[in-house]
Amino acid sequence: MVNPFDLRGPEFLVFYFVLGVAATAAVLALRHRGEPPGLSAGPLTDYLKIAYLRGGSAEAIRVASVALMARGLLEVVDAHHLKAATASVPTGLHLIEAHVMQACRAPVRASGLLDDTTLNTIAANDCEPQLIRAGLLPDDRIKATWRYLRVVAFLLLGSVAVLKLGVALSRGRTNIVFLVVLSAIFGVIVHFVTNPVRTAAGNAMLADLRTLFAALERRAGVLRPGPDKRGNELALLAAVFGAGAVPGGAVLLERLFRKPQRPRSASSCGSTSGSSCGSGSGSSCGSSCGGGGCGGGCGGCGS
Amino acid sequence: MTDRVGLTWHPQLAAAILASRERIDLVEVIPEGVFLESRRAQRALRTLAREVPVSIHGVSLGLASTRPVDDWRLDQFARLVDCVRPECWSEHLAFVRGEGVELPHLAAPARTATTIDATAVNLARAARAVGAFPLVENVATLIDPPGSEVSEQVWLNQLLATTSADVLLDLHNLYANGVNFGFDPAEVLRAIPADRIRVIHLAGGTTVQASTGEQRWLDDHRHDVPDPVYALLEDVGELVPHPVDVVLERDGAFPPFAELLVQLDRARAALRAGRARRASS
Repeated sequence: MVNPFDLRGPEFLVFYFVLGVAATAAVLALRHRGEPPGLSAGPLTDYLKIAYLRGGSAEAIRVASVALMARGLLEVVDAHHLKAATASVPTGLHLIEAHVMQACRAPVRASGLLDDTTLNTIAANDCEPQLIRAGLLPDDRIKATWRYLRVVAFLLLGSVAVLKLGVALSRGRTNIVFLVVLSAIFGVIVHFVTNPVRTAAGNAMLADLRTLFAALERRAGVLRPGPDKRGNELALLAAVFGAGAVPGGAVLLERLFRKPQRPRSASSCGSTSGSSCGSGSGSSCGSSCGGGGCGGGCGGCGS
Repeated sequence: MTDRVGLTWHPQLAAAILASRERIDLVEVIPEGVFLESRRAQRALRTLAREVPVSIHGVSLGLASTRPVDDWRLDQFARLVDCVRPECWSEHLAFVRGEGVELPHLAAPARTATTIDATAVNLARAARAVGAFPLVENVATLIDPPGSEVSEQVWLNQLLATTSADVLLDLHNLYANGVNFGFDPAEVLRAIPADRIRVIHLAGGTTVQASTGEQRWLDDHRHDVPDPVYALLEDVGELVPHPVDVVLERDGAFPPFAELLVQLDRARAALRAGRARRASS
């Protein structure tokens, strides 16, 4: 039997690649083993929990804002700001919606709502426990299983790589870069496959929602905001498919919730614009500088 | 257990139905086209069934036929029912194919002893394959089926005497046939064994002109429920001793969803009125 540590460099790299693929496949196969096989009832009608399941607390806040806008309770002040349409918070709102309304008593930057620590905490406290109970998000036990798999995979791949590096160095070989890079790549892959956002049931729930509401997305163009359940239809659309699926949302909401770009220094702006100009791409310049910080420099590029 | 009122699941109405969940007790799903064929869609339907009571309503088996139902079609329904676990499943007392020709609609069978026997055999096979008898629905027809020997009411009652399947009574089909063939649907309703009626369908239709120039009432599911059908529903409330499920069928020309909810409320009111009549009699 061949000792893999005696393999020459290229052969060992092939061996290590196969080992890495096998370890990743094993982790993928085992990571959902400990999860509950089914779920009792999902958040099929709760657009905020659907949004949280899809994109976390910031997405729940975004969809809450969309729902309030669809019902005429939030007004768009300008391209980036929102304001509550009424001084008082109406009854019957979801908890997150009520707090978004409160946060918008004065005009606020919409993207700031997504970063608001209090709102994010409220969204997490309101949505996460139920989603965990329904088996759609991982509980501590499932996370521990994922951690265990991650540690085992890291130990296996890491120890094999370290041993081979030791053997190689002891034999005077210094061309170890490929093995270091390959082990780092598998480390990143294992990290991602053992850190899924949702359980298998959570992924299935989102897929089921997309299937059930597929016609809604096709019909998005005829949905209209309204004070009643029509607003909820738009909110469901946004929750399942993202705010970009809402009629006009792709432009209006994307701009509304876009975070302001940090102003770049004059030199970095100049270099970005210069590079875009150099390639002869006007759109590249616009895209590089769309955030506003570099507006002047790019204006020059376009001419 | 109380009477429940819901409507037909339609992809276009999906979000509106779920957004109005508190006013919709159940949904009925026609599986042909998506749910019968796609495993992914079946899984989605199972997810829906966890949220709201679901029933499966087939349109493709052709149970009221002298031709045996294809095994593969029954297997499809069996897989669907096994996956979704609906509260019940139903099919029409109609034939939909023959001699290699697929009909684009539900055709009423000739009302003879032969079709009763053949239908009973098909129902028994369906029950064996799926694990439960389907509810059987009366169909609307624009022509009196050629070769018929008995009335619709007699045919239905004789069929019920030969099978354990219960009835999904479509009041609009009953009304349409009454208009088209000159009988009183309320009388026919009273002749159907009330203890076998489990589910009620409501729908709307419109007048069409036959090639002979005669007017016919077409069950098209694209119009509001006419007043006489609500009156029949009130009769159901009086006659049927157990709770029933009422399903509003709407397949096109959708009005604002709020108007469909108003029709559901009207159905509830009609049933309540019938129940009150039953209690006072």
